[in-house]
Amino acid sequence: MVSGAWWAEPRRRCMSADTLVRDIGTAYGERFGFSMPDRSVLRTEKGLTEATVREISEAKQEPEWMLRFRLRALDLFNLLPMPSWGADLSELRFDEMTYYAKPTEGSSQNWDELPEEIKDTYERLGIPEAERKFLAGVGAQYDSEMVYHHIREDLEKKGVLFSDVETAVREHPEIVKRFFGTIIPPDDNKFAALNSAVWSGGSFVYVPPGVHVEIPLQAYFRVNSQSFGQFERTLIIADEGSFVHYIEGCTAPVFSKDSLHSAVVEIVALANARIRYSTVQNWSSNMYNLVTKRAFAYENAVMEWVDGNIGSKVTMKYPAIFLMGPGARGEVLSIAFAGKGQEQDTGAKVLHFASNTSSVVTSKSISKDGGTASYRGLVKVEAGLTGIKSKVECDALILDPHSKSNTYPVMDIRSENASMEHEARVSKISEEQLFYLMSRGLTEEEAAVMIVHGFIDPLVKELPMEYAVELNRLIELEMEGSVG
Amino acid sequence: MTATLTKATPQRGSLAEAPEFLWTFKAPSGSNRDEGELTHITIPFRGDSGRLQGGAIHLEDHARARVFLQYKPQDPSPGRSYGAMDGETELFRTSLEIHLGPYAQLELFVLSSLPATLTREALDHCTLEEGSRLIWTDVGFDAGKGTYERNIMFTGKESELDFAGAYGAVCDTEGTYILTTRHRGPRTKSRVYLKSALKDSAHLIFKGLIHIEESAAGSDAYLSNRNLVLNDGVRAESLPQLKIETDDVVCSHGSTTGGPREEELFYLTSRGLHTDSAKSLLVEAHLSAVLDRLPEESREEVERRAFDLLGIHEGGACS
Repeated sequence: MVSGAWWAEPRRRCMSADTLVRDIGTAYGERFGFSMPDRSVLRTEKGLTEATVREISEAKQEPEWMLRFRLRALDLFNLLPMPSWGADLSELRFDEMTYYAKPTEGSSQNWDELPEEIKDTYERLGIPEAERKFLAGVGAQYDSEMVYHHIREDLEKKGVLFSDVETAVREHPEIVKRFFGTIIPPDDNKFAALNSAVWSGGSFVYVPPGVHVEIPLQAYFRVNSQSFGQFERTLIIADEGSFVHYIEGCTAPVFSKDSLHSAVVEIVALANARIRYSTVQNWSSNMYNLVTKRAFAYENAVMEWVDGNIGSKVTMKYPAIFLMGPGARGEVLSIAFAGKGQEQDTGAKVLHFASNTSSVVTSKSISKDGGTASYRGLVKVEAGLTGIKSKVECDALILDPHSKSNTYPVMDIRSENASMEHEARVSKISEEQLFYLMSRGLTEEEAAVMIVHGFIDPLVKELPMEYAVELNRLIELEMEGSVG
Repeated sequence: MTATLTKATPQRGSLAEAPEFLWTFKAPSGSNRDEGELTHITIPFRGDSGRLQGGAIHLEDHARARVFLQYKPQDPSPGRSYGAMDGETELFRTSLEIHLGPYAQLELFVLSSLPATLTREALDHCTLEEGSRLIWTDVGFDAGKGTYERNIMFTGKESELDFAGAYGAVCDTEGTYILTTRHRGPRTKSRVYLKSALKDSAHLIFKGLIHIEESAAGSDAYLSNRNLVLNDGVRAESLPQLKIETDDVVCSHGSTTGGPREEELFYLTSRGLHTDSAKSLLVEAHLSAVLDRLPEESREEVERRAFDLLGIHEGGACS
């Protein structure tokens, strides 16, 4: 057992809760893979037609402009081709999915008002407890709808908006109309078009000028239904000089049939604002996770993506930063863990459109038990810009002879006054390191786990403590029995 | 037994896709041309647009050889300029088959310097058997469009490649360099260095794939691509790729693209050099690591050609 390793103790001791150690060694199926009986109040027929889109729009009592937006996106979805690159999507069946399931009549601001099963689900996942202890606000999405949204009163008084997107469409149409679908237009790719046609739920965050949301906001996405598509849409706007850290987590039951999660996340960091967006993706092994995420960073703004991918059957996700204003900075920290039957095709895109902008991409991946981890990325510098700096670093560990690791970066530089660096390394766990640790008394497995922890440590440090612990624990679970 | 170079007369009427080997260089088992003797092979464009001109180099086991290959435009004949009519281009298609038998060693130098009226399409394929070693220095100053695809297959264990390429592109040159090292044999090793300097509105693409198959345990591969951008308006695209199918490997790549560093320019100008001369000197330094590998007798001429082409001059040389 790795859980009792002596070296892990100090780290855990300094993490506050004794419960953190409790669950180590229990499997995904028990901790996250459970499902509740379906008690949705509205559910569309399987498959996707214009009627499905109209039904969703009507259920949400949307304004006409949003219905038109959806229908145009549906046309685009039917028109656009599947990606000809990346992970294998040949088993994805659009006709067998359910595109909308409404779990409750409305969103609540009180956990106690939620139906028993839903409340129980989030209790088991530890969300209400986390809200009390560590978070400034929580949103919880169950299948298609945000069933819960709550933000601390002091932040609400400062004008911070945190709600589901449907509420924002009703209550703040001027902000939504200005940004919605402008960062990621529906014709961006097939899955952005799909999301635009059937989107439901997701978070809307607006932080007024100069306001710093010191503790994170979190959204937790839970899929409960089988052969289900979750299409949340998140829009975050940090007004001038503000700061917000948004975290998302996600899990799903283990079913025999595949599900689809295809989100669109649009982020705007206005001048001098800073946004950090952290993800710990832990979908079940029957989930296709095909997500489009993009941020616009204006003058002197800072955008940071911290992206952890542990779960899912297939993930294709390349968080992007468009550096639109001079002095803007972008950073992407990405970690992927590809185990048995998993394909993690992840990476980052940074496009420099203004002078004196800089970007750093750090990607780490681990593949084992026949899993495939791929880094796919783009750095582009337009002509005529000065003072551009970009650095991309990809490290990959392969833990057995049957696993695969790929690296596919693209650097497209058109400016003389730019400095672009890219490095990538692929290797196995070094025998010297194993030998050293084993000579200090560790078993081979303990030594391997320790090396993997060391490998991902620079990323884990960037996550809030609770997530760092979660990620470490997940890695330990995944690593169990990996050596010898 | 000594190495032989045979030349064939091109056969008219054969399929354009079937490489007709215009020349074949063969080094029999155990032969050694390593004593400084260099075989020069010149491949001129024969004025037959689109026709594939093929060549082959075959070294049998334990053979050693040094070969200098040069792609040239057609010799101008009276009344005919290089290749094409005004504004038109002609297609110069070449292929090169290299086969190194067990423990053979080939030192290969390839120089291509073609006018803008020729569009080049090169498809080269190398097979490296057990313990063989290929040392390839590739220099390209083609002025037109070009696609250069090189596939190097490591079929035998412990075979090695050491590839260094230097490329200069000016005016509206467009070049795509694709280099794939496919490691199949165990404990194979590859080192690939691609360096370029770009000026005016040139556009170069470097796509370098290291593919380690499951059978290639213990392999060690590295690819580096360094592009020096000399003015705004050029375009350098770098796509270094890794495709790794087993764990017991050390594979990495590195890519940098950028203009001359300000500190370096500042240092040189503070020593009395004009900015343009300083830039020219930095181009020279950038490419010299590759050009220094050329045989002594041709190094100076190639260097002069490179720096005439890439040197920073008053006024544009592009018409």
